[in-house]
Amino acid sequence: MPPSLPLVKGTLDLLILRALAWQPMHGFEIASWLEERSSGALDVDDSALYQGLYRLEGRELIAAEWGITENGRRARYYKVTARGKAHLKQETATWVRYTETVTGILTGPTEA
Amino acid sequence: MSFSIRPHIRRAFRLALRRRDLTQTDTDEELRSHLAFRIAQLEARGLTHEEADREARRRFGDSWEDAMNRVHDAARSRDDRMAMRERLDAWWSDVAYAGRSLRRQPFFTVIVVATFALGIGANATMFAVIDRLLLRPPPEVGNPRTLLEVSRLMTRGGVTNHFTVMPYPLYTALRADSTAFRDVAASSFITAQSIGTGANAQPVQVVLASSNYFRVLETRPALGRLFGPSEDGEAPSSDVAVLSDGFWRRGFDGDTTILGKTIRIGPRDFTVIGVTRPGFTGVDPLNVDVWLPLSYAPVFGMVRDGWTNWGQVWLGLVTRLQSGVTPDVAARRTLKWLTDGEAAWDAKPRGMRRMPDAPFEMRSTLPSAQLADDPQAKLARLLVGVTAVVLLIACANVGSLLFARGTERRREVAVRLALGVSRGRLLRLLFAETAILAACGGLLALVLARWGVALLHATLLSDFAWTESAFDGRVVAATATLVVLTVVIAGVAPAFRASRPDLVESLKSGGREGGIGVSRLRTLLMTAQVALCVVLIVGAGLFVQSLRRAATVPLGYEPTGVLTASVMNLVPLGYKIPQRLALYASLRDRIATLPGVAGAAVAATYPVQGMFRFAVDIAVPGRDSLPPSPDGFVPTYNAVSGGYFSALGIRITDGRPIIDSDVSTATRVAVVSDAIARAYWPGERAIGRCLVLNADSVCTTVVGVAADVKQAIDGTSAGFVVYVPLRSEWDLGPNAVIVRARNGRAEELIPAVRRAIQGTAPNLPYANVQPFDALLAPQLRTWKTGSSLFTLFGGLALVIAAIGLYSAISYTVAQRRHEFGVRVALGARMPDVVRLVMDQGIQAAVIGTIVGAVAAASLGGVVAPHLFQTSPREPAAFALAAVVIVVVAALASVVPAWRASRVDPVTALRAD
Repeated sequence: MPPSLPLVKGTLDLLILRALAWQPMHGFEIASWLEERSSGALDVDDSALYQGLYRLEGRELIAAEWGITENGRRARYYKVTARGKAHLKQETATWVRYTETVTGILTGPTEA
Repeated sequence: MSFSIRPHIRRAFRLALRRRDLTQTDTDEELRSHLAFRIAQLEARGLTHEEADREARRRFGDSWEDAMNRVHDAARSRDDRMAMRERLDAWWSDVAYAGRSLRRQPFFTVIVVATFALGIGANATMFAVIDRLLLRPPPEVGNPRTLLEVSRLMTRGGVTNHFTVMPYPLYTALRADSTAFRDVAASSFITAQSIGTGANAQPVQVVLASSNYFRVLETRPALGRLFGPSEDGEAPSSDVAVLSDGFWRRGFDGDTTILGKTIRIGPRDFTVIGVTRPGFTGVDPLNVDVWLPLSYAPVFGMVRDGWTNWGQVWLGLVTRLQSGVTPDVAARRTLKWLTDGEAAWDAKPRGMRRMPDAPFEMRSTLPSAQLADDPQAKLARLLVGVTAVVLLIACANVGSLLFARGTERRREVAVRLALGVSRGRLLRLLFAETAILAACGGLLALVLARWGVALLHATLLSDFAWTESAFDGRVVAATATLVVLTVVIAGVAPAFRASRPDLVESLKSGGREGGIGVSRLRTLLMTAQVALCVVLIVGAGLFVQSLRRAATVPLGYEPTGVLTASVMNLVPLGYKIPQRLALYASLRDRIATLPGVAGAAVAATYPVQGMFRFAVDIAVPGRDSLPPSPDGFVPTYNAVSGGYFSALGIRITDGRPIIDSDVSTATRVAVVSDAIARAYWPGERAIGRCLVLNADSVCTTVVGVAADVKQAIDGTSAGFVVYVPLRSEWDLGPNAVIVRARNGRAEELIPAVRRAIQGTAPNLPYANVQPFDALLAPQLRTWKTGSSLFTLFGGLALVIAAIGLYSAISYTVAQRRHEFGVRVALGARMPDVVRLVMDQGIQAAVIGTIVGAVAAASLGGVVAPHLFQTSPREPAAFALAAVVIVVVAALASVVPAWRASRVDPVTALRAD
């Protein structure tokens, strides 16, 4: 397993929103989803994940509701609000443009 | 089982926010469930339960406790944030709800907003004026707190006043005293001078200022430079002028190339070197057009007998003291300089009055100190009280309307309470309504105040220089404060009352009868409004009475229909007395032939003209001493042509007046005032007596006695005056033509008189032609301001109270519809019902009038100093107030009464 990558500041919120854009999930599901998607390359503390969730909830980008899982456990389910969707769309565009630009510069030809 | 409610649902039902301990358990449960999932996942991968548990916790971070703290913190800040947002939402929804419910009742809303607007508007207006007059330091003066004015406390007849005119040698003495005074600047008082000649001549307000004047005041120019060392000295060498911003804009259209151009003032051309910044007027808030160097004082005839004259007081002195020197020390030193200077001065004039012990005071130049003695400023303070009363009436009115509204809404409130809405929340809702009403009223009040300030400035305060409007951020802030204040005064009690209805009772009775408590409260508020109105109307009546008495007080002459015409600047232009006599003689001849002129005369001075009072020494052969004048002043004399007494309407009580042949022949005759005749020859005739005037060698024979003349409306008429024929030997030059209009309307003659003057000789300076009434106007101003504003605010209060009365009675009628229906059904006739309703209004009016009259009588001492020959308990004012109130109350109740009498018993009884 390659060494895990530290998270760039601010990206966790985006990743959570992306995960929830898929479908409503509870905290553990989101954690598993992130591990799966990044093949374990992203280093996210579970405490950081919950802080992120509460931060997003406070900004009303996501909303929470208690529900029952498939195997009958109570869990707090999160879903993206309309504001959250708009935020995700906008921030994703910014992120893409940002990384493209930085990548372009970093991988471009070096001048003599 | 705990369940979570979505925020918007919670908002919709106005449910309580989540509690902190609930949040804690919520989060704990969420984390427990997370750990369970993780442990299950890890166990599935083959870890033992203990290993899985340890790993699951490790994934939260290196220290479990730290991790938990971080997560709980995040949860808490989330909750705070959501709570705040919910509170804002709730707030906004309250406001929106209140707004909607107000829109449903436009009549109520309009009345309350209008009441607030009038009440707050009146107060905002007075605040703006007071702020300008009394609260702000003089504009464009640097460090106004350390700038002091040299003043002397003179006590006469038990009244102490600040005298601020000083002799020139005192200025040089203080300036040299660098131990106490860091710097001292001098300026003359404002005088009108003529700029230009002939038909284009204009008057300008000129101040002569020492070379360091602008430096001491720490003001900077807007253009060019101000006076400096080159303007120093006592010889008029530097022909320069500084213009005020106002004059530069008005007279020169703000010409930026004005520097270096010359303007002709009196006999000289002055080069403009600078323009002051907008608003700068020196220490006094009065209009100034031009500043000229102090060294030009002799040119304008303002310095008599040289610069060493301790007897002539004509300069205002301002100073900055050395650090560590207290104003008291400086004041004592100043008195010593004055005493020493006067003692060493050998040319003391005759009749110079001394008050050797009168102490000096280094007085603040802030308006609060400057205007401490000013009757207008004192009156302004009284009027602040008046507007406060208007606001109280408005608050009582609104409060009463809100009580009524609370009663109407008892059902709604009861339903809400029954549904579990908290009382605090309900209070907030009711309060939001009052706040919205007051805020709208406040906005409207700003519009009213803006207009009111402009009106007051234009009418009653026109000689105060306000370059920028008095209406600004401070007024807005004051208005906002007033809005909050009125919400609290008018809104608190009704809101509390409305939020506490008797639940069961309200739901049962269908809210038909107004609670007895509320109706008693409303009656009380109505009575209070009436009482406050009575106080204001009595005040208005007293001021109107004062004005009427002051305007018609016997002065010893008839000012109405008289004009005075003076050509300015003749002395600085080099006219000697014989030339002035010739000029004024031909002016008089030309003016006398104008159509509409009943008579014209020339005089050295005339009543009210305080600037020119000429002292005279009187001796009577054979008498060692003569009784002094009862008014405490030295005798004065006046030189007049024939026709003077008839032109001014001064009665000759004995003998004959001065006639033109007295002027042309060299007979030594005089007319004396009645006061002299009574004092010198009590019980005997004065005619034929011999007077020796000014240590003359020959007798001047008394040929007539003239009625006493008042110099001031509120002054005494017992002055000693001697009238002599206008001839060069008396050293009194002519200064004015006195013109009497045939039809009594002096102002109609002004253009013709001015044309006649300019046609007499080419290139004459500006001629000051004014009706005598205008000269007296400043003396009437206090009573005029008082009566106009008291009447205005009293009228305003009356309107507000009438609205209050009307709406209160209408409300009662609506509430008692059922009862009236029953009465009519049982045979009551229309007049019975009308009387029933009218009684309510009249009763409030009568009780209010009695209470108000008692209050007004006990407040008499407050207004007494502002009145003229009018007792604060003048019965006429009280009678007027009573009549006005009863008439207004009757008018306010007549419409609701009529409506009550038209109640159809069938509809009224069927309604419920």
